[in-house]
Amino acid sequence: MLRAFVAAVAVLLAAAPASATDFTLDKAHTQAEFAVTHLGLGRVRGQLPLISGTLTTGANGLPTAAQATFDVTTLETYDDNRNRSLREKYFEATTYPTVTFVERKIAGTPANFALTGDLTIHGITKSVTLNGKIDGVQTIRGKQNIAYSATTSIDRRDFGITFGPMLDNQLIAGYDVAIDLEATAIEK
Amino acid sequence: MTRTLLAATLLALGLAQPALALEGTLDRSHTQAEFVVLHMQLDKVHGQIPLQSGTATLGPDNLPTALTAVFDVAAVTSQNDRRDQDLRDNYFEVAQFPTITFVERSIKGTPDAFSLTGDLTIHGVTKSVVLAGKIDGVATINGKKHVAFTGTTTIDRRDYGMTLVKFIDNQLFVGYPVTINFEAGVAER
Repeated sequence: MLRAFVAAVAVLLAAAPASATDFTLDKAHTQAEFAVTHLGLGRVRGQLPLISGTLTTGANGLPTAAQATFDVTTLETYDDNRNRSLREKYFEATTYPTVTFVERKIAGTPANFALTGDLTIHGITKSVTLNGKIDGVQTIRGKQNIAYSATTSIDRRDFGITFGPMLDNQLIAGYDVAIDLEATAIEK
Repeated sequence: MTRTLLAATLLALGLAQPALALEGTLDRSHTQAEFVVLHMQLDKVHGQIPLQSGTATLGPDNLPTALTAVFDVAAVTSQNDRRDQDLRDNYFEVAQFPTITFVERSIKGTPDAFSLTGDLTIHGVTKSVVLAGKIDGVATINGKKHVAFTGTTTIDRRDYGMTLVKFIDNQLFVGYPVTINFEAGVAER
C-alpha cells in the first residue's frame, strides 16, 4: 500500500514540467540602458536600475515568463542637470515612476533569440521585440545563474514622450532611442 | 600708415598661425571613460569614470592633434554601492591613485576610423595604448564648434598592477581583460 502510494506520488511529481526553473533577477547585475543622440552630435547614455524581476526558464535556459520593473526616479546619466531634466520633462517620473517589461513569447536559440513582450514607458504600453542571447551560465553557491543581454530600439514619441526642445535648430534629445538590457537571473 | 601697419599685422598673424587648428575643452557632461569587465566569467559589469578635466587641439579634419584627459577614479560608479566601494578600495586603490590620465602621443587615420596612441596611466602605472576611434558628429552650438569622439581599447588590468585575485566557486570574481570605452565631447574655447 505504502509502496503504491510512493509510486503514485512519483508519477505525479514527474508530471510537473520537469525542467522549468524559477529565477529572480539580480539587482546588482541587471539594468536597462538607453542611448539617445544629443544635438545630432554624440550619444547620451542613461541607466535605469532594476526594482524587481522574475523569470522562468525551460531546459535550454531561455526565459519563458520574464517580467521586470525598472526605476525611472533614479535614472542616472552622470550629470545632475540632465538627470533632473530627463526625470521631470521627458519621463515625467512623478506620474510614471517605472518602466516595465512583461514577456509574451520567445522564439529562437540561446545564441540568438527574439523576445516579444509588453513594454510600458511613460504610462503607454507597446509590444516590442528584443534581440537577445545568453551570455553565460554558471553555478554559484549551488544556484544556477544565467546572464542575458538583449537590445531593441524605439521612437520615444510612440510612448508619448514628445518633449522636443531645439538648440540652434538641432534636437537636444533625439527621438530614436536604443535600449540595451543586461540581466542576470539567479535560481530561487 | 596705420592702415598699412594693420594690414601687415593681419598678414603676419594669418601666416604665423596654423590656419585651421582649433583649441577645445573637453565637456564634462559629455565625456566619460567606461570600463567593462567580466564578473564570475558570467556577466559584464560596467563602470563609469567621470572626467575631471581635459583639453584637445583639433586639426582641419577635426582629428585631435593633442589631447589630454584626467578622469576621477574616486567617483567611479557601477550602480551598486558595495561594488563601488570594493572597486575604489581594493582594485583602483583611489586613496593612493585618485586619477586616470590619457595623454595623446600620435594619431593616424581618418575621421571615420583613426588610431590614437597615447600614454594611459591607471593605478600609478603608465603604458602606451592605441585607441580605435571615430568622430561621431560635428555641430555648431551657440557659435562654437563641438565635436564628439568615441574610442575603445582593451587592457589587462595586471599590466597596471591591479593584481587582486579572488575566486568564488573556482571562478575568477573580476576578470583580467578590461574593455575601456571613451566618449568625449570637445567644445571650442
